[in-house]
Amino acid sequence: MTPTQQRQTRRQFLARTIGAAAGIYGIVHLIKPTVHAFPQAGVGGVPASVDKMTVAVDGWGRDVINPVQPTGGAFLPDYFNLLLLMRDENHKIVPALATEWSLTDEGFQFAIHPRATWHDGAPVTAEDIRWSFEAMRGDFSPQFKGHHAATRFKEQLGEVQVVDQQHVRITTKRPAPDFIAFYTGAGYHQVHFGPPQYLRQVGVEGYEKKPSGGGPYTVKEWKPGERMLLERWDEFWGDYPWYHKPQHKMLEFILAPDRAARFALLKSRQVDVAVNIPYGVAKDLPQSEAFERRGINPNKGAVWTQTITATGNYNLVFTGLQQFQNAPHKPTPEQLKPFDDIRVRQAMALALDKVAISEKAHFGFTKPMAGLWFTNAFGHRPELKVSPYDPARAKQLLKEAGYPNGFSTTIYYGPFVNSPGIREWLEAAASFWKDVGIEVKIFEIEPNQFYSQFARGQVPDWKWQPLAVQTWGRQEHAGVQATYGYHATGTYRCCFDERSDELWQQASATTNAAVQLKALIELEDYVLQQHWVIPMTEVSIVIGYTDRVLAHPHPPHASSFEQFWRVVAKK
Amino acid sequence: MGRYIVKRLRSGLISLWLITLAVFLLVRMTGDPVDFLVGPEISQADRERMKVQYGLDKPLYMQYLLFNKSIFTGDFGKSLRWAQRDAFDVFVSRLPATVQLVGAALAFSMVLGLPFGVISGTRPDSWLDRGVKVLAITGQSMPSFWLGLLFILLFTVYLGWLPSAGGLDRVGLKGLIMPAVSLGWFLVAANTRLVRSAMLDALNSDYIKMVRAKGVPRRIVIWKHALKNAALPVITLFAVNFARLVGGAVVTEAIFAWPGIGNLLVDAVYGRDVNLVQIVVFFSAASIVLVNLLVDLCYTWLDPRVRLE
Repeated sequence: MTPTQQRQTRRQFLARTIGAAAGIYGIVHLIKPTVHAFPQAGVGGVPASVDKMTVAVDGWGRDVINPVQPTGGAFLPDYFNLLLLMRDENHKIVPALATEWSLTDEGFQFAIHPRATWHDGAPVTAEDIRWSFEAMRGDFSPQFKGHHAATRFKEQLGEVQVVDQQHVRITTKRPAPDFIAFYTGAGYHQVHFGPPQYLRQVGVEGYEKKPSGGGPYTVKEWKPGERMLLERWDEFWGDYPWYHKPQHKMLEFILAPDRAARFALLKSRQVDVAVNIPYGVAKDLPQSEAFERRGINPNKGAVWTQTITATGNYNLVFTGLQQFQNAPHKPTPEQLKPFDDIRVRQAMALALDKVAISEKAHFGFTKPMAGLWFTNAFGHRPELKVSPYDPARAKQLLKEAGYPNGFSTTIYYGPFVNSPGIREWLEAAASFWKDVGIEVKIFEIEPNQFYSQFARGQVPDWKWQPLAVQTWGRQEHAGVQATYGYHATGTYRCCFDERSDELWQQASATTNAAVQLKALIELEDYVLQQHWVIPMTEVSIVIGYTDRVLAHPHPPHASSFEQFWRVVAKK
Repeated sequence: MGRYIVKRLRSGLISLWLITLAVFLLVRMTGDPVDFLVGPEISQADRERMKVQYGLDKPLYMQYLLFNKSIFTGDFGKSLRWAQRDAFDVFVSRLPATVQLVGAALAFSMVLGLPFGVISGTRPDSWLDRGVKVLAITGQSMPSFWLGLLFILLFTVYLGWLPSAGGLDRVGLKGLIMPAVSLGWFLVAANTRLVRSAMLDALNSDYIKMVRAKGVPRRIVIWKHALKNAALPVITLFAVNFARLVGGAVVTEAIFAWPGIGNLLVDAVYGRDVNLVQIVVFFSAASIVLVNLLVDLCYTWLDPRVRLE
């Protein structure tokens, strides 16, 4: 072979190799589209540090922020106290204070991040965690009266053992399949960890006035019901992509309950972020989901949005079927009609075009529910279909049940924070029900009344409301909804019977995922077959950002806003 | 005078007692505070425990007696919603913001209301008078929340001139302008009509005719002699409105996220924070009773013809 021929051969080989590589690359990316990386502080022209980020919210859970005596879920302590685990932007459970963990029928054990410290510099130890669990359980009453769910701690948790300075083992009295959802931060915002020495020194009262923790921020100013100003803690030990020192030096949360005023704050750039933009406004704003990636500024205007889905859901409940054993007012057989007849309940479901309601009443921001459990929660089945829209069949069923001309009824709901669009959904549903002859009057009652009247079975005699909208904040484990909603001692009951109770027992008696899943699926199918509830819709929260914000990696589902330490801004 | 003051104080105290009793009963009748303190998932055992923790397990009459005792000892208990804070501290922390807002609104209403009323009263049936009357009717017809939202749209969103949320220490005096104007606009209208009416009466009175006959310049007749008497009802209304608005600027505070006691009261009512509701209502009622008494006493100084009986 001549040298020229050899060069040609090498050139051909090179050309073929490069061509093949390019072809493979192209094919791979056709099959698997590029996932754009989030901008990072200090990289590619993005400033390493910016001054302040201001966020307007319509609510932040409870205003009680101490970790050992909370009165309910609260989001603000995420920023200065510690969670064991959290979820990343792909909804995966990821480490936070706990670097590794395991859940068995005997209990939960985990390792503490080796560099974790409190704001005063003291290391976070296993002893700190043990003290915290015991304080929440109420072991140190009366100084620390315990978590509002202290009974749950007492009934569920056995011993909290210090294996060594970095390892904790918590035994459970019986299998606790919802342990991670409740206790770790990968579900609720109910359990946070703060510095025991500081708590013992200042007490809960002192802590509420001057909080301290171990998270990415310290609290510079706290005005309950008004605002919280947080300052970046430059010695923060978190080194995860999802949990790290923030770019901004100061983070301010302000409470702005009026939604028009909250959006005005965003439009006028008085705030950088506004949580819970009304759907009717958000539909006209650039949505990051439609562009590069959810949570990345699409650069299409002064304001952009990110939608967090499955933040809550709504179920239509036939309250007369709740069977509260100690309810002071039990429905009479007359009051139970017509919903004691399964055909009527079924007809009400068939009369609804849930897809159309989501698209028209909520501008496509919500997703009609097929089943009971949340999207991507443990127990959820994506293949479940939304109940069909069949008004002809609905009318037929009503006729068979003895209501050929339909009937009138009433429904009540409570307008909770982070539960947008209930009224709009119901009004749309009312028009569908009217088409089959069912006249529905809608009543709004304020949230406390709703809890008293629905959750405690204290429906008043003078205003019997056969239908109610039960709202759920997001639950990461269907077992939680089953526990509260579908068995005899549940405190937020839809309804139950022996069979649903039995299935709940099976689901809650083991941490074996396959066994739980089987029982939860059966329970869901059973409840749906009984038509005890009509699943309505999963709701979403739309977060609005000014164009100053380049990105905010956020879990796709959450019960409210989260992880603002991940926000990246351009100046 | 002394007997009058004692009599008024006695009736004021009776009014206060009735108000606190009514509030106490109403708040407790409308729901269990523990239901809103914690979520619906809370167990019955934990609910009972929290009731004991917050003293809500005691019989109603005992709770009421304890509250009455707290008024005299100054210990109003803990806010249920902000569990470790004294209800009195929470109230006091929010009071300045409302006083600032209401004071600014009333000052605005006086600064505009008085001159408008004078202009209108001294030029009856003129185009100025008609213009002022239209302004008065418009002002009294527009709900303050609607006005507030319009202001936000214009001055915040479109023009970007003024901030729309937060208290004085967060947004400064610029943040006070819109809420003060939207709250005070109704009072501008009310004051204008009141001064106009009073000016018309005063200008037709004998002493004004006497002053004119003496050759006193018109502007002194109007601004010194007539206005002095015409302003009396406005001044008394100023004080009464101040006391009333301190507890009642709820809507404006909500629209502008103004951290005053109006917002606090609404949050407390929604949350059945009984201690906080009681203290806010108690002090609001007490301030109205006291201000009414002071106004009556001042009246005798302003108008020597008035005798207290």
